[in-house]
Amino acid sequence: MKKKILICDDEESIRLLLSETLKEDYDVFQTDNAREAIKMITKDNFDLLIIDIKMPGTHGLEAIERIRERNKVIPIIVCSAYRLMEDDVVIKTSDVAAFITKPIDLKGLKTKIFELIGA
Amino acid sequence: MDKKIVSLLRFVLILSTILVMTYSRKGLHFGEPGYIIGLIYLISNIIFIRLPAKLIAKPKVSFAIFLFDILVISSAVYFTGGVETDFYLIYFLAIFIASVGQSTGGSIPIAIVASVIYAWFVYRSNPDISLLDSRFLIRIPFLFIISLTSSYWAESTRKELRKKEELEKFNVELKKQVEKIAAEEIELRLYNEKIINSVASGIIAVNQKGIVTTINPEAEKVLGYKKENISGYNIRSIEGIDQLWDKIDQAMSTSKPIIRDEVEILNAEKDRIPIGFNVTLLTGLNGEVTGCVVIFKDLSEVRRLEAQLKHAERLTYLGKMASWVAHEIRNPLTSIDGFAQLLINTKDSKIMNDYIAEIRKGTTRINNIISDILAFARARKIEFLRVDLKELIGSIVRDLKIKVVVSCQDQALVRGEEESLRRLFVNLINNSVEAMDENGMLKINFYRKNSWIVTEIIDNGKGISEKDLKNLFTPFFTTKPRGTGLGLAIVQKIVDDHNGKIEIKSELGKGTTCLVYLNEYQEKTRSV
Repeated sequence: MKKKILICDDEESIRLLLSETLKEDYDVFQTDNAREAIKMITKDNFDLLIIDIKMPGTHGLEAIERIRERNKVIPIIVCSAYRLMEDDVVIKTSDVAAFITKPIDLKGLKTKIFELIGA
Repeated sequence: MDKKIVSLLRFVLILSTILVMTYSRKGLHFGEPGYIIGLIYLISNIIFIRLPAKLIAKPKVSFAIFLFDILVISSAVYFTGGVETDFYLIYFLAIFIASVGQSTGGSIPIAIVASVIYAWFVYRSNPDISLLDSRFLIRIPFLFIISLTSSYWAESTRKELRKKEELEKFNVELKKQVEKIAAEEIELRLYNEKIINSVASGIIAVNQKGIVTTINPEAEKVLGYKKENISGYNIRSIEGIDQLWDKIDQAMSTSKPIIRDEVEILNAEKDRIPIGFNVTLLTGLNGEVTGCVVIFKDLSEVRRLEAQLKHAERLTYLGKMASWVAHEIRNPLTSIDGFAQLLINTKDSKIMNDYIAEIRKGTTRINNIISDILAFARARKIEFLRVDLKELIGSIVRDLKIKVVVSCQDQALVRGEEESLRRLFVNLINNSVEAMDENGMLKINFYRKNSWIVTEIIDNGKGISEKDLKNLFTPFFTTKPRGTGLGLAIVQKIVDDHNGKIEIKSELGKGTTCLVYLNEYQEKTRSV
């Protein structure tokens, strides 16, 4: 059985890109907002979460905090157009497995995911 | 009573008495009563000189003194047998002194006493003589005449002296008052001068002919001229301040003060100086304008700070904009780059087409972002042409899925650039549409107000909170999930470029009204 990955990004094209990239090796689910993502992770067992930071409604960083309250183990990859240093984004490194920046190196992303959860 | 004159006259009287005694029948001899009386009389005058003037001035005291004179003279004459001489002449002198020394009321009794004693002496020395003897009788009236005339003369002299004294006193008082007022005026002038000189604004006062009457140090400093080169000269002769003079002239000719205006002047060094000023009119008793006071301030420093602030604001915007651009562009860039990466390993032409479509979406998005930035940031010349707002807005609302009511009584022709105005109204109408649900209704009215054509866009959407209303036109401020925060900033810029104005009123839960004021197009108006 394929491992399950949840993608949370408000940009449709980004979701499409990631699911096109990962669908061969994983079961890819997607949502366009953080509240939905929190719900889905609480309800279902996902193996990995890829989440954007700047999103309408609940902010990505807030969502990560709330997910960590419920699920301490799921690896989270933050995928953002922000840069950690450039844009003063403050994030608890222990909460996230990786911080990748847009534009995305898809091969690198795939390698990282494989390292985290295998195929 | 003048004590000095009276005492002097009394000495003369004493001397005359002694003379009468010396040439009398018995003559004056040491140790005899006449001698002693003469001595007492002399001493009495020395005491008299010593007496305080106030005491002598009392009518009773002076009467007593003059009565004493008559009695002493009479007894002196009596004891020395001077009755046979023409001693009565001494009485004239005594009465004269009494008249000088006191009022008429006091000298008449003295004259009576003198007459009685004289009569008694005459009678004593010659008991045969009748009191009605003409030699005797003829002398009595003279005593009274002397008394009356001399006291009248003394009285009028006294009066005149008093008047003179009073006048002198009055003059002294008047002089004092004048000096006091003059001193006060000088002090007041110095005080006023100090106030004017200590004011941190430039002050110039001119009369109705434009002659400078007052100028304070701050005004000298701002204009760069010395007081002596300006004061007393016509303000028109000062080079470089023509604009200010025009304003002063305008204020004086229309009798209307000018509050908070600004002009640019050239100082003595020919530097351009922006000044802010007020012109206050000076008026005469009948309300006619007699001149004016100009109070002004050098705004160079304020302008410099404003420019600095604008520069800082621009830098802040630039920073915000750079961050915004980076973020907004990275998303479509990610799609373009990502789908390009996927294309490399894709052979299925259908999938390839899907990826290419995604790539094109990304490029379109980036293009739109660039257009927004340019619309907001670029300063450019606008060619003003005739724009029919009814037509323009009609084309924008045609495809909207909500109900739209457009009402216009007349034509709505404005001076503007059609593409900019289209962007302006698209932004505003989109905001309204996004604020409403499917039951929303958009009302658009056009009307004329002065030289403005006003476009009123009214929606019944969710409205804007008071806090957000303040930030509406701030760049990068947005309340929308996917807003760029540039929409209304662009609207504001387009309105500014068109020398128009915009007002937005809103109430939470009830809706929002936008009022856009644009200049009416007139046939004569040429494109600028």
